[in-house]
Amino acid sequence: MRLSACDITVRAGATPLLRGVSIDAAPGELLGLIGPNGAGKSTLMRVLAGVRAADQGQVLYDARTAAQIGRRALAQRLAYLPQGGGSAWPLNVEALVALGRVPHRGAFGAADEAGPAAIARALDATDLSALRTRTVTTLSGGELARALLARTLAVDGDALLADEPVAALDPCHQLEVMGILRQRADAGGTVIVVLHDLALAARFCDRLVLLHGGSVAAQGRPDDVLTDERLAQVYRVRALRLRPDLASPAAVLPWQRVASTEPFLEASP
Amino acid sequence: MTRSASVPVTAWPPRSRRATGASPRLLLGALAVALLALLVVSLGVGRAPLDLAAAAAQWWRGEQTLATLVLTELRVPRALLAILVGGSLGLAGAALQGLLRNPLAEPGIVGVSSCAALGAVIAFYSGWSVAVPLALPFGGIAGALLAVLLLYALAGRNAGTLTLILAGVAINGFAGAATALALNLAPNPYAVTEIVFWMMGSLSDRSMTHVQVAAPLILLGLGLLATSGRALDALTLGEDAAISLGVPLARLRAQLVLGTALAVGASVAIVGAVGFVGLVVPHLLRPLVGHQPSRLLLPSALGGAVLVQAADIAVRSIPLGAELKLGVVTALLGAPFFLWLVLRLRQESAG
Repeated sequence: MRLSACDITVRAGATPLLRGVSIDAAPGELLGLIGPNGAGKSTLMRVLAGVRAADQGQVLYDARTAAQIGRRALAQRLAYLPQGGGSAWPLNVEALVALGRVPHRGAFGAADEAGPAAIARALDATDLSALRTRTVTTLSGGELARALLARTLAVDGDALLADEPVAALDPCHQLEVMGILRQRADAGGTVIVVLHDLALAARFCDRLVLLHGGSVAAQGRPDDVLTDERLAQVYRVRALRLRPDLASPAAVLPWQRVASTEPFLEASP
Repeated sequence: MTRSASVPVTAWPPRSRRATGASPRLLLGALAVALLALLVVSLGVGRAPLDLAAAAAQWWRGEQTLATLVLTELRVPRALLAILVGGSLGLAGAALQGLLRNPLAEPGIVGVSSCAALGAVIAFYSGWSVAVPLALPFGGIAGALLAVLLLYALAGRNAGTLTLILAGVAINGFAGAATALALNLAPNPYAVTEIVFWMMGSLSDRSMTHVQVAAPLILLGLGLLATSGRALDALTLGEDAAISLGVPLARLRAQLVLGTALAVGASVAIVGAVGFVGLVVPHLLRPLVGHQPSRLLLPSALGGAVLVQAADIAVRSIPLGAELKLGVVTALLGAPFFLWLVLRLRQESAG
């Protein structure tokens, strides 16, 4: 599914959260959405997921609006993992993951033939098969995060929006989750992921969109977006760059804060 | 004729296994059997001695005797109302808890029952209940509707337990004060006594007319509540995730608000306030259905009916000078349970 947001503006009262943001993600692409706190990443994700209406602009899914596709039909194709989600009730892991099949169930519990296989695949992909009878309240933070991701995988849609899916995870599981998202994209899915970890963003994403103050500060290939000037300007950090080999993109490791009065900032356009 | 040894890896809805215990059909079956058994007991219990089998046989032959009169005019409406009211309270509790994602959301605690009582008292006072046959249940429904709307405005979106309970205190306080005002201004002290007794909640002296007035409204409300399961499941993940799963949130809210108002409002208008049923029943049944909101709905309706039927048998069987009030009994059982639940929730949030 091709996802394109065109000139999205969102205001909370008089405060603009997003100002004329346009982004585009194609099937097979893993698009990273990065930016400092308060840049508007989560707001943009909510608009893309059709959870929040934009004050201006529109989101198109394969050139159609959510209203044209229909809310339920869209829900079968587009999965959204909100930031910091959880479960209100102590379901077991399998029941939680099975919630991803809600759009595929009829209103009166009509059969969902593809459901069991999709749930099993999602559990398997997130390494949770052994935990599927565990109550979610007994999971560690990382296990819960993986279970919530598995829920979105169980939707089995062709687009996936994940808002900070690696925030609570240890390094190994961070790599695992990024690997799952990468795999989804390689299998032809459209994946948009919000990340704070610039090293993961540079390593796994095909393209990055850098948001700053509600606008797109830059977008393009990771190396082109994560320049020293932009890191200083937008994130106010200086970074180390580690290049494991010539074929890989450089990993970006934020190292030092940049004081706002430094001439480096003034010099940048 | 050998059956395949392979077992499906997963199934939808996920079958309750080790972690969740009984199968849904078994649970529903057990509750239905209990309800039927209690129904028979309820028909046989009462102040007037009655040979149930003989009365039923006479009624079947179309004879009009004192026994058939007791059966059809006293016992049957009472037992039917117990089922309708208990089902309403149990189901409304389970549905409200699913909507607000809080196990303490219960029609009595959050003030829906007291506002329904206020509506019924106003209908009673204004004389409408004499002039218009449906004024009493509609008064109750209007009061309940007001309360649910207020509740949702105060504690609808991601409200914590504290906000929910405070909203309940406010709504209950308002309804209590307004009802007291009505009683205060009452011209006739006997009317006051009558209303105070009515508000305690009781199924005694209800006729088939009461059933006919309340049943359609209650059944409509139950229908609205019972069909919200899929959406309530999705809400487990929060509102944003639920919307992204295709849940029409505004419609769901309207459906549950209206369903609660109809079921609880009509129930309270006929039998008065019967508290804590919607708290105790879903809470006891939740672990048996794997904590899934959709699978809690029907068992809660049956469980509520079982509880109210049992409590109503108890008030008629306990030999005291005056017949105990049903609402008093459920409150005496339910309030300590509520306290225990608050303590446990506090420990959970602290731990």
